[in-house]
Amino acid sequence: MDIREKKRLANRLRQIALRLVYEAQSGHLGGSYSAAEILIELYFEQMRFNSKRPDSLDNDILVLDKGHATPGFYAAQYLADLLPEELLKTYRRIDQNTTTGGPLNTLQGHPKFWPQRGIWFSTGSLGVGISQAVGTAIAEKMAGRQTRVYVLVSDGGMQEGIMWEAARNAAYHKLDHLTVVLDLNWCQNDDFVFKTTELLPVADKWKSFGWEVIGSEIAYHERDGTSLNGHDFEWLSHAFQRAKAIQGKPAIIIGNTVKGRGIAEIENDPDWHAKPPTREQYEKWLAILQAEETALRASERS
Amino acid sequence: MKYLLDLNQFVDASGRSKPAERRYVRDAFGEALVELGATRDFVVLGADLDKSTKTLRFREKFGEFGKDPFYERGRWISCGVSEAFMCAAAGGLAARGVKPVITTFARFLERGYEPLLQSVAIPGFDAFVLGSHGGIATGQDGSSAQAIEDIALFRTLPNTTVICPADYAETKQATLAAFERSGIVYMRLSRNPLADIFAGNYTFRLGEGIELVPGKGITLVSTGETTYQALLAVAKLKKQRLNPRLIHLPTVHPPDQVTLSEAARDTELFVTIEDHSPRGGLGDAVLEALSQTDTPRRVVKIGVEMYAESGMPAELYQKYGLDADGITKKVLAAVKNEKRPAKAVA
Repeated sequence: MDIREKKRLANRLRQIALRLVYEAQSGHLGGSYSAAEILIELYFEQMRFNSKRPDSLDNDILVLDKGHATPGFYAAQYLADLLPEELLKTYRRIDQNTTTGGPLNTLQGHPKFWPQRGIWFSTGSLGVGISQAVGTAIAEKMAGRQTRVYVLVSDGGMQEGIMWEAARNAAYHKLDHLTVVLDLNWCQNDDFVFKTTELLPVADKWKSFGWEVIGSEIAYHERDGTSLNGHDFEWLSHAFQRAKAIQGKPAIIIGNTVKGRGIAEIENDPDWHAKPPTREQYEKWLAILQAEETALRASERS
Repeated sequence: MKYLLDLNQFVDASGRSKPAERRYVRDAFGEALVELGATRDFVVLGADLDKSTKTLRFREKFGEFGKDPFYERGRWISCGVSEAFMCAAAGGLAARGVKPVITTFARFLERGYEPLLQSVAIPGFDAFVLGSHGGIATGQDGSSAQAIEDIALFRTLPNTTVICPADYAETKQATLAAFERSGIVYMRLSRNPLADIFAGNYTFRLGEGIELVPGKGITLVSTGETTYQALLAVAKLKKQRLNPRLIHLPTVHPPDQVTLSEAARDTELFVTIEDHSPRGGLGDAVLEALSQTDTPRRVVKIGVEMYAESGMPAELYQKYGLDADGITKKVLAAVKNEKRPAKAVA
């Protein structure tokens, strides 16, 4: 797919995510925006799936370990025709149509297993997603399917011990069809990652756990406009291609990103981890994104 | 259901316990797993305790995933000492239609509780979970290995069945019978070889309590390893001119409402006995069942009130009041209390 088209899709994702969080007055915008390009690259370039059969076992899978990034995740799934538009209205809202304990037909605040919608995991507690993905990747090998399993993890999530249990196990089982993408935006709920507990070094940790590491971390204060490869489609495409070619071990792609990327007002601000915008903010930001979309459409035509 | 035992089989004329045939319930589980493996599709996850949980035979027969000679067809998955990971990975397998059997010590399962809840319970998957080495009877390893909260933890997970068999024969049957149950099945086993209670004519029925000794006025309810001690206590109580009934609840949760309601008709005092905290375990399961009956009944719960210590299982049961003498004393005290007229409330 043309990079200009992907850029426009990432813009659309940001608009939809903004609407989801604004309308629900609840949700996680910052970590959805940092992952926008990664999600679009996955759904529109890397993952093979039949959108008419979201529950097909042959579809590639994305497991959202950073389960709070549902605004971005659901937006990507909607853009990829895996979720119908009317379902977006149900985000974080009670299901009035099912009996207590019955199957839900609403989009949960954090993803819940719903294979009919292409959601093969239940996350929200950091680190369980990558662990589930390792189990799923083992199931794929057992069944002899060619499915690839992708996992989107966060830097804050790497503070969970279970993530390193999963890392060790994935390498031990040589799960080369498992690719983890780190959305390294250096912000978490309370504060910056390095002010919460230090995470560095990142690449060396994963290397020492037996993983193929693609890209490397750039410390927060050393980043500049050119180092933000997690928002760079060209770089991401190459990274995923490399990951697919690796044999005998799992791969992790380290994407350097900006929390809240796309709306200057909330960029690199841990306070925008889980905060809904006011009406004023919503309208202002939507206008910014819409103006960007117009410009992107113009560049697509040129 | 009734499975009435001849107490003379277990105690001599003076009321002392006879030497019993003892077998490891873990072996029964391991054997049942191998039997099931031949016809059922599932995988077993282990966390460096396969010699202890007796899943080694399954591992040998059905192979280790990724290893020669089974490779991708291997059905035993090594997780290393990573219980939290194991419990979450089980959910990832179940999501793709592969039924997981999670195995480790009861205490270490507790570390995997939240990942299990997130990855298996919330999405509503089927899983069989073995917690071996439950209770203070685990013995010399001390309180770090003696789970006394596990039954309570699993009982609170929606759509979960908790089973705690009393001997070898029952463990084997219970494993086979409960395997197909939907939701989570938690089986709690003891470390020690347990005295044989059930003979070849016994049939385990999931969810059913078993009246082992008929009686009236007092009903003892026990589960797992304590059922044998309760049996010996009943013999002692009979010598004290009491006529206690003994009900064994291998399915602790959900408790057998019918059997307990029936017993409540001619019972003034229930005494529950478990190698577990008296809060949230068997005792509370019985209380919940009795709260559904018309008549309120007095319930005394015997359990482990505090973290115990290293020691031989029999010594620990004696010190913490879970052996036949301890149970007898507590029942007698409760009976004495009951006969004393209640103080008038002003």
